[in-house]
Amino acid sequence: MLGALMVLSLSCVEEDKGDAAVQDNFDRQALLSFWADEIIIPAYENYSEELGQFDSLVQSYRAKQLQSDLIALKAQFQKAYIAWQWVSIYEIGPAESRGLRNYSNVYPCDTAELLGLASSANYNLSLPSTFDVQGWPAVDYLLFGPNDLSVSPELRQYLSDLSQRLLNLSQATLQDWKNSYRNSFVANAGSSADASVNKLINDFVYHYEKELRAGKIGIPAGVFSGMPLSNRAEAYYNGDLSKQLFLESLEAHRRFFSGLSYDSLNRGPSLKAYLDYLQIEENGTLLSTRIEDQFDLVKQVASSLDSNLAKAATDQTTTMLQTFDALQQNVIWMKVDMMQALNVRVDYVDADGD
Amino acid sequence: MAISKEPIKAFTNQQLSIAPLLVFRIVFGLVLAYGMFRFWYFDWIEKLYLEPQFHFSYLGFEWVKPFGDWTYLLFILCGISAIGVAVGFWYRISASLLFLSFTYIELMDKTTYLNHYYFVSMVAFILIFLPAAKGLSADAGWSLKGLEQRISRAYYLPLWALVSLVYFYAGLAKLNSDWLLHAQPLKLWLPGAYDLPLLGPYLEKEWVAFFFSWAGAAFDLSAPFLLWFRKTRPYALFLVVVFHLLTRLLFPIGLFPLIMVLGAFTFLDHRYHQRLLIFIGRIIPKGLFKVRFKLPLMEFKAKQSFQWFFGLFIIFQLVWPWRYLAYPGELFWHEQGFRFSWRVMLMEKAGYASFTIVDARDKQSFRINNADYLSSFQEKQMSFQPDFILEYAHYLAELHRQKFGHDDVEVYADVQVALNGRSSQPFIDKSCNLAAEKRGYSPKKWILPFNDTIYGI
Repeated sequence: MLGALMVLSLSCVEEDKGDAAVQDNFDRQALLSFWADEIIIPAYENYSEELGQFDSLVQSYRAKQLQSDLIALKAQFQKAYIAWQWVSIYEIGPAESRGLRNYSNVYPCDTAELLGLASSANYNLSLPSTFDVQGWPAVDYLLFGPNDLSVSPELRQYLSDLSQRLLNLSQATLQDWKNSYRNSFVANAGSSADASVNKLINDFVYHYEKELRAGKIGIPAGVFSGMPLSNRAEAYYNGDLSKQLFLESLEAHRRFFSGLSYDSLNRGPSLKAYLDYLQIEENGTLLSTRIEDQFDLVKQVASSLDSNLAKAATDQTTTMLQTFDALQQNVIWMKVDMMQALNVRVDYVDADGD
Repeated sequence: MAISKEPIKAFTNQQLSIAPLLVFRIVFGLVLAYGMFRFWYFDWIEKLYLEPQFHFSYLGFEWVKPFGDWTYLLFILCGISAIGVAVGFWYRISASLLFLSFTYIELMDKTTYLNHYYFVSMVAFILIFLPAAKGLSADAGWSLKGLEQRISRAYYLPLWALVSLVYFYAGLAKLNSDWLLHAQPLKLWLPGAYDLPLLGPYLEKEWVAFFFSWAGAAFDLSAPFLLWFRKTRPYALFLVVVFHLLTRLLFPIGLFPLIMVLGAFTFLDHRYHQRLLIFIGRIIPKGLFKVRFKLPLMEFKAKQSFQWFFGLFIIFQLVWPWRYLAYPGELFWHEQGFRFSWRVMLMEKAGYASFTIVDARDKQSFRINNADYLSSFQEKQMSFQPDFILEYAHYLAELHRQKFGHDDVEVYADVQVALNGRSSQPFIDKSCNLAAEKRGYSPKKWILPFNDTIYGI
């Protein structure tokens, strides 16, 4: 340990000579900048834009009840819901403090509760008890469910309120990212449990495990219940959208892992690059390659699934379960192998170690 | 041939100053009181003991459970008795309550097991039997005259032996190929502290990980000897302070460095302790002291029974960590005999455990979402420790027996574990119905063999 002191004193000396030693550290700041500027903020910009168009159609339809508006509205719903898949992963900072995901995409929607609230015209959508009567699942129900909006001013009002709330939440989140959070996110490049790299990796892996693997595939396929639960599929009422939502989310995860910008035009630092920098491999195969290949395999297994996952859950249960298993392998490689290699602690009570 | 007992007797019965023991008692009590405060302050009582619906128990201590909001009282009791020890008020009772309450807390859920909590429990136990409040205490009065009390060396021996054992066994445990030849797990851990001033940029270098590994092992193995001999003692104490400061900087290690430094300082010559106490006595307002000393100045001689009991205690401590030899396979992998053996910061292990419940009557099966039953901390700890996996499987089996209304419930675990930077690999026999496996000390046959070799102790 005397030597440790020598290291301490040596480091003081070498510091003066220039920081050649520092350069071979993986540049976490560049990683965070790329995530913020090339992936997260563009994703929020796109989401807010699609959502803005969606909202203006909602307002127009509420005012005039034109059938043409309703058709355009339904088409725009798909675009906006897809855009949501690209921001859902990043529940950090302004999104986390607003509970963005819980207010935007908790499914299944409690339709009885929703109808009751809408007709009472007395509701407060900022209460946590209203998670499952708002957001995209509730919009999905209103637009594609059994109700005729053209004869129900309360439901049109409710739809308008849902749309406005989604819009406000997304715009406020985007503004926070642009105004101040971006810089504090990038500056917080340390190694503590609440530093940005640690937190976002945790959020990313959590989203992959809970939202993508369990939420979109596992739960409707009946992995946790023993029998398929079709009504737990995403976009249940506009069912043909559900597989596409899954694939978009899968692609969003993959690009984040591999370091592809939101528009996929640029490559940048990434989890893959970080793992390769540390030369994490087994028997000559890089861990990052195994993870990327596994993303491809998931896509391949899922390719034969019906575009409606609610339907696939009952009609193609085996394929759904195979998709789940393919997804599961990457949970292990990312949550166990990757997080150990990157020395990222799994989010838990911050107790002592020894 | 009979060995003469006389030299041993003369050694153990030699009278030494009480001062180091007084300092130890006071600071140990204060540190533990602070520890309890910390538990409350960080909201750990709530998160670790009240929020989880299920707790992992030590074999034979299944009856030790948190008891709702009243659990707070337990922590308060522990904190108060720690202060009782520090000030030496009703000392024997305070020390007993401290040992009992602290140990109870540790037994409530083995998720939180740390070697240094075990160390604290053992020290608190020893303290019950030491004459640690025969000076500078509420019981004996605060006069500095109390510093002149003398006690048998036998009273110091259990403490010294335990401190030495912790270092030496921690050092022995490092004599393996992962630690010495691959610098694992330090090679994984050190780069994480890259943002440390000065040292940070070097922590990613391989030679630094090797240097820390070898230096750490050498320190642990030599510290007890350096502490025992008067000539090397000052160097040993210097190293102890540097070593624990470094570990404190590099790892989230809580109160452990403080407690070990404190333990090591009981070796220090009594004159330093006396000076420290006299100095503190001077700066504290005089009014606080009752000048009258309640006890006669005397020598406290350790009884035969004390000496026999703690002799056996130390022998037990020497032998108990070797129980792992009774289990086949790699200790780091199966962890049978891993705890209570001073294997400190030895491995980086993580896993992912997925459980399937089978209703054997109607052949239905489904997976468990662990987050429905465990806190994230519990899930993390469970996913690579076989005894946790089995206990949790039994809990799930019992829950579903009640749910299904019959006993034909099977539980299977699909677990992948990564150890010291190796790729994750299957950990548990997937085809083994864990609901039918018994808890106990016999080797767990359903743990799959480790597909690599770690050489060494």
